[in-house]
Amino acid sequence: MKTNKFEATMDKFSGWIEQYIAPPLVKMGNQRHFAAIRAALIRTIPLIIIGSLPLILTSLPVESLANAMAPYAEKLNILYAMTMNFMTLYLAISLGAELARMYEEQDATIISIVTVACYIITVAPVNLADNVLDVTGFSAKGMFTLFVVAIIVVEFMHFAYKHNIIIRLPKSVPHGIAQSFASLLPMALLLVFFWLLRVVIGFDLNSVLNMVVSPLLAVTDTWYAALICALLLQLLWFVGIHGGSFTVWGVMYPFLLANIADNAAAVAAGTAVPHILTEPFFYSWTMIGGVGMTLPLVVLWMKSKSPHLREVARLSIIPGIFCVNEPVMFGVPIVLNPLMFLPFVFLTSVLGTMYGYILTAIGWISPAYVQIPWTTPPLLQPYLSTGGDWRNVVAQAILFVIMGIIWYPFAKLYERRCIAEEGEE
Amino acid sequence: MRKINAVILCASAMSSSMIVEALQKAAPKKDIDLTVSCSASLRYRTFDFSGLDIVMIAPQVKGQMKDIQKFAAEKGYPDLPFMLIPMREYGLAKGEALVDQMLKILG
Repeated sequence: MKTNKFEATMDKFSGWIEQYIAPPLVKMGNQRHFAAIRAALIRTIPLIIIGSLPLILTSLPVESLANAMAPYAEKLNILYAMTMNFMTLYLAISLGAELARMYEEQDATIISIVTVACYIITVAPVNLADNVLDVTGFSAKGMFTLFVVAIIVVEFMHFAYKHNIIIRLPKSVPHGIAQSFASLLPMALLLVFFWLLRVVIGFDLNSVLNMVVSPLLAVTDTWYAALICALLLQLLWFVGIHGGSFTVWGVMYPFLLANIADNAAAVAAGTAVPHILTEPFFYSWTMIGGVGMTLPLVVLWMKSKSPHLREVARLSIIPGIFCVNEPVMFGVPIVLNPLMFLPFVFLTSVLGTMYGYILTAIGWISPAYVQIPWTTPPLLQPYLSTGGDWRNVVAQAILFVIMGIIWYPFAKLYERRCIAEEGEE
Repeated sequence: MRKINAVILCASAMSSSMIVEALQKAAPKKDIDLTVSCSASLRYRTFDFSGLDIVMIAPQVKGQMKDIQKFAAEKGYPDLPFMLIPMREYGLAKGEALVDQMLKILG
């Protein structure tokens, strides 16, 4: 392959990313508590998706329909409240189990139970006089407290096991039975600890943590957070590393979920939707057909004169519609391809992210409040996630065309090169 | 027919499902009875490595390969072969080339 000065520089640059930017991020993403939180969050997403469906029904975009639904709103909202607003309670179950898997000796179910118990004591100690729980802490507002509680629980259970702070039974007792006794002592210590902290001393970990996290929540909803996310995402993917694991899905995920839960609560309460950045935001404006807006690119190559590009395009179009674009990334390849560096890293996803952010900020399009599967196809993605705002659909269609125009010269340039190489062979 | 039991790991077991299909199509041509599934690399701590002949890693999660290999060794499979799937074969879902490479590693 012919290389010129520009491409040599690009090569150097991507080598630099691979050597200095990627390793610390990969390391952080692979950190086991981090990974467990991510895995636990992903497993509760179906419930959150189901939980936002009643909201669509109670806030339909057409007024006559909305009025027709009004009498059922209260009952439908219970379905929403018991899923979306209780998300952290369910997350406690899945996080306990995920964290337990770090240690061979721990039983996932037992850790889940202890986590849930300690978490409830911390965020919602029962009011015995009226026999009620304050369930605010079960919503996204208790999420960061859960992270702290769950990590303390699993680490202490492991510590207790390692240092023999357990009740041991003879070997002849079956493993499961022995386990239930073994964990009694550390379990009791944990419950007493969280009880002391919350009930006796009266230290409200949840409000303290929410105070600490609220500036972070504000930062994760800014244009520069979106920009940094998009840039890192593109840089990592350019060197062939699954960037989403470390940006949108990694560090940002709890914040994005908290944001969308907040947005949903605002819609349920009939107030203005407060946050711009959510997971559907990124899938609507950063990744049409996957990172780097590869769907317009694939469309451009569907009838390419290069058999190679045609093959890639035809293989990629269906997965691309569902936002999976590894075939394009590796098949073309775009990864480590100097010619693709400029459009892939700077001109596509980054531009799209800013486009979506600005349009939302000035109120031309709506922010998302419905969590939907990230594999939802383009046009449907902005429509469903905003509870049916057609302006978002139009804005995405326009963005699709803009991206096609931006990709066009690079698509043609690379096509010419492919044809030349195929001719040589 | 030679029996091989393999697993492919990628970020969320989406793109790897395409490779599973490609491998299943290619294996009988090479006279191999292949059992292959895909999983999300994020949840590698929940994997059961027993009965596996080879673990295939998708290129975009190569950063996790070392950790997963270490984990397999801790679980008692220090000699389990790992194969990093090359970018191009992954992107173009080149089933036959991947089966060839797999055979080369397994000897």
